[in-house]
Amino acid sequence: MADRHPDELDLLDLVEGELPRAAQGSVAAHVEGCARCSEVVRQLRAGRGALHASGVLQLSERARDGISAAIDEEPRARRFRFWEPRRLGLVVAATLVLVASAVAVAQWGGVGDEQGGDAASELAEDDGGGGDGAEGGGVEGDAQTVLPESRTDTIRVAGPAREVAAELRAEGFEARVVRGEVVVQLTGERLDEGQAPEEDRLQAVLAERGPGRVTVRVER
Amino acid sequence: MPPDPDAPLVRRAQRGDRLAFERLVDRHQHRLFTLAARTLGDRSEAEDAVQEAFLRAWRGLGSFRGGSLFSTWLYRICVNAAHDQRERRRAEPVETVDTAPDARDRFAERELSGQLQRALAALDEEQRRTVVLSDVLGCSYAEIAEITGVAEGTVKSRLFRARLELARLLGTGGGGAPSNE
Ligand SMILES: [Zn+2]
Repeated sequence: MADRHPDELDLLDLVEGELPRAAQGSVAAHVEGCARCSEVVRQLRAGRGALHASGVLQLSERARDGISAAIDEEPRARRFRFWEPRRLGLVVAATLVLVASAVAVAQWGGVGDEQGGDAASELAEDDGGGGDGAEGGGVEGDAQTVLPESRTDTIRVAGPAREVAAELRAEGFEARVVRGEVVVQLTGERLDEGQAPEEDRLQAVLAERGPGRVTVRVER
Repeated sequence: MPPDPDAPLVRRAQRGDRLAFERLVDRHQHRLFTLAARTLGDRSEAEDAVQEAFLRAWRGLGSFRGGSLFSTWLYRICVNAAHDQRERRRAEPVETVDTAPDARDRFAERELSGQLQRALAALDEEQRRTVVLSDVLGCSYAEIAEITGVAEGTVKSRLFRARLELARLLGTGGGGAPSNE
């Protein structure tokens, strides 16, 4: 037995498996031969175990609905990217391009009045994907966010899976059960500009079922 | 840092996709509730704190840059919302119609009144949130440090004290405190 007890936080690290490999052997050996330290380790494990065993508490459905309701009361159509300073330049630039082209179209006798703010933002997004260099910032990790991409999301609803799939098919979705999960194939409309009708319908069907253990994989 | 499983949904939500945000709420609601409920010791106050946390997250999504896991960012918001909730409760005058003898005792006598919750009530707020983040939600020292805004060393010593105290209070500590030698 070593004559000095290890630092108490080393004992915590030992319990957590966070102790550097080099120190592991000597601390573990000390604990094994030291009644005091092994008692501390035992208590640390007991304290951790008590909470761990208590698990995750469930938020009530009523409270879950309250969250959606609270967000509903927020101003509609929040478009966060407009307020990101690093994108603002691009938005302004894109808007100028748009105005210029609208003027050009007008001069040619075109109409072009469908070009609203959303089109400008979309243009800004597309430019943002390809031309981040304009900001001198190099390639950012989130450049991919502006590219159309195939996306898979999962959501968990009350089962059984077969019933969920049948219900979705009845609503006109392409849905099947694969290894216990429900796979829904959407047509792949871009979802950025408001919700596509199929998204709304899907949300409605799944919301109706409520949260549960069946994984629904939504593919686009 | 491992790849963030929430990243695709977060990106969509940042572009205003409400459905994507709803899915993020679905994913994290119970863990946020556990964090708030175990910290506050009261279900209805925890529900308020969780709602407030998601609302703040929705408003603040644009400021999330992916420098941490989304869950880490969310837990931090929740810790703050729960803290604010607690402060608000403390500031409230005790209602005259309230049959509770003393607002300070409410922690121990509301719904979450099991043995574990009573033991948690004996810890201070920082210790409570630290053990819950670690031992229920499985956060690392580094994540807890980020969520609670303190150094990792502080996280470790809080965790150490809290676990020993819980073991003692729950009677799983064996024959009393370890002897000095
Ligand atoms: Zn020792």
